[in-house]
Amino acid sequence: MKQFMKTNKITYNLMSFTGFKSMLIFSLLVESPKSYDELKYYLENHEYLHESVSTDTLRIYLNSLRHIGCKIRRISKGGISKYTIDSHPFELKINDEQTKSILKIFKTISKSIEISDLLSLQEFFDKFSNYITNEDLKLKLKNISPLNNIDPQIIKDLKSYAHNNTEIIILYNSLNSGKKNINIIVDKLEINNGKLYVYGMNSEHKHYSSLLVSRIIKIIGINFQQSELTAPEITVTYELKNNNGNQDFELLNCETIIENHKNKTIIQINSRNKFDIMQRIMSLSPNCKVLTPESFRTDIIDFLKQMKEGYLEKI
Amino acid sequence: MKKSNTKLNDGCLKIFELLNLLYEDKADYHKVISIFKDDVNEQSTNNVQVILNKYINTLKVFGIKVEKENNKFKLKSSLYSMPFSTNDLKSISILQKSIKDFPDNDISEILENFIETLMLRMDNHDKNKLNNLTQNYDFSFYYSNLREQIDHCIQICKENFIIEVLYLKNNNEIKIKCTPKEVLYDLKTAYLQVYDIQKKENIDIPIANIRSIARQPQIANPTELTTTVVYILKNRLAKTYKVKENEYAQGYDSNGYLTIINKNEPFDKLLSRLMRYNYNCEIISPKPLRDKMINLINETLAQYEDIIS
Repeated sequence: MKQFMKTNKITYNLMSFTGFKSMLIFSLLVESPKSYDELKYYLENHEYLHESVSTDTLRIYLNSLRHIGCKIRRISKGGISKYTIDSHPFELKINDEQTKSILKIFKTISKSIEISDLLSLQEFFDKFSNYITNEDLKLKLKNISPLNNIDPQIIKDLKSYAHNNTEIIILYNSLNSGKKNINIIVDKLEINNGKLYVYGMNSEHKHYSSLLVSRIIKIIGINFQQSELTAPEITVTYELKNNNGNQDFELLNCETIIENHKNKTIIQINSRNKFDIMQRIMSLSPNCKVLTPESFRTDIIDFLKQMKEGYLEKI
Repeated sequence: MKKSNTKLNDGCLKIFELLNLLYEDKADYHKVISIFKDDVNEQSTNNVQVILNKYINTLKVFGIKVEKENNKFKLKSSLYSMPFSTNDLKSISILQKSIKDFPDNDISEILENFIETLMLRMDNHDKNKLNNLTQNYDFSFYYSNLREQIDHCIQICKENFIIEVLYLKNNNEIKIKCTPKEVLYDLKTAYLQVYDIQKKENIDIPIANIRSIARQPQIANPTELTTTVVYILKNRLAKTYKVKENEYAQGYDSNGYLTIINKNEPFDKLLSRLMRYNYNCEIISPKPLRDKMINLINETLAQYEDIIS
């Protein structure tokens, strides 16, 4: 080796030239398809080798590579045959333990990272799930992200429009009325219940609401004039019993504690989205009671009555 | 290696057999030396060593770094490199940072090894790029101070004996006989998921609330540990619902309702989630859980009794 380092000349005593040629042929075929003539040219002109190799010898090398587990494909075009390695035994293999650990870590951190980071992870999972042999786990990793099956470019564009509250026109595949154009002043992107939504003022609902990003077919237009997001904030006050359940209760960013009593806490929640507040209140049942506004309280009571009726019908 | 009738090149087979051991991290000295033993025919071990050196030199001349650590050869760079995009490197960096303070050592070690296998296939340019990523992530897990308790719970899950857990819920001490299942995490809480033998349901107990765990002599029966809940989704939600990891959809009925089969979700968490879907959701079975949901609705309505009447 010392001699090699000094003079850059190799002697047969110091290394296996056959081994060296094997790795060289392997690398050349992994890189791109090569004909026997091209392989001969590379070997003849290699700085350490300068060696002529017959087609028969090359054939033996290729058979040996097949023997160790390389999948070699022959491509014939214009009367010339070229060979390429489609897969080999040294490829990355992600085992069950590794996949399960990635899934566990992802579940732990996914709610605390930016959508742009989630997007990177989604693309990473898509690419590297190909190296997972367990089909069930492969599918789990591909589907775990809430951004799964959404065009990454649409997410990137919506993020940038949300930054400036830009008004855009989207082609949307509505569940109720099929494909249609909708104008929306984009406010924010948020993940709710495992799905990505774009929030804003939209022409479809005539008020501040959310649309499923997965149903946006494409963004077809942008209004370059300054848009103003004028949606009013809704404020709801509710009381939460302190000693009866809700051990996992966590105050949201949009919530403030107004009063703290021995047995109950009075909390105020502010949001432009009524639906989000509804879901929050319902999830805290039965330890939560809406105090104001009256209209919102009536809506909650109506929901509960409808739920009860749904169950009673079948009793 | 078994040879077929096809003419093969012995040096080629040997160098790749050596590489295979290195890639699988199984290149113990005695295994490596056995590849070359046929070549020396009852000659001294020294000659095998010379042949081995020739092959190791071959790898080095080719540009593959190999180091010997504790009688084992370790691969430090790869025969080939994979292309890593900026997104890939960013994702690897996120994983690297997230496991730094993660209290489950098993998971951290497994992922460290995984990242090593990726870096082995990374060229120097990408390695430098990864090292220079400066994005900061706050993964200071709230339960990092519970490392010992978490380790204990992981161990208990591995042992698979029935346990008696004393824990605190809403300022009350609760004792249950249960089977430990696994340790689960979200950003703020680490849970021990157990199967309550008496109630026949899964419970996620925050590890911080556990006062004591007593191992019982009985071994857990794995067939008893599954819970299944069937519920239907109605209206728009039936069309937009994204099934969770522990669920599958069983198709739509004539009303357009979607039937969902849910496995093993702790009932408390499931009820809270299904309440959010309000009248768009109805639990079908098991009956005790359906009754529990009806009670939940009635109890919530009772809060507004003064207004309703």
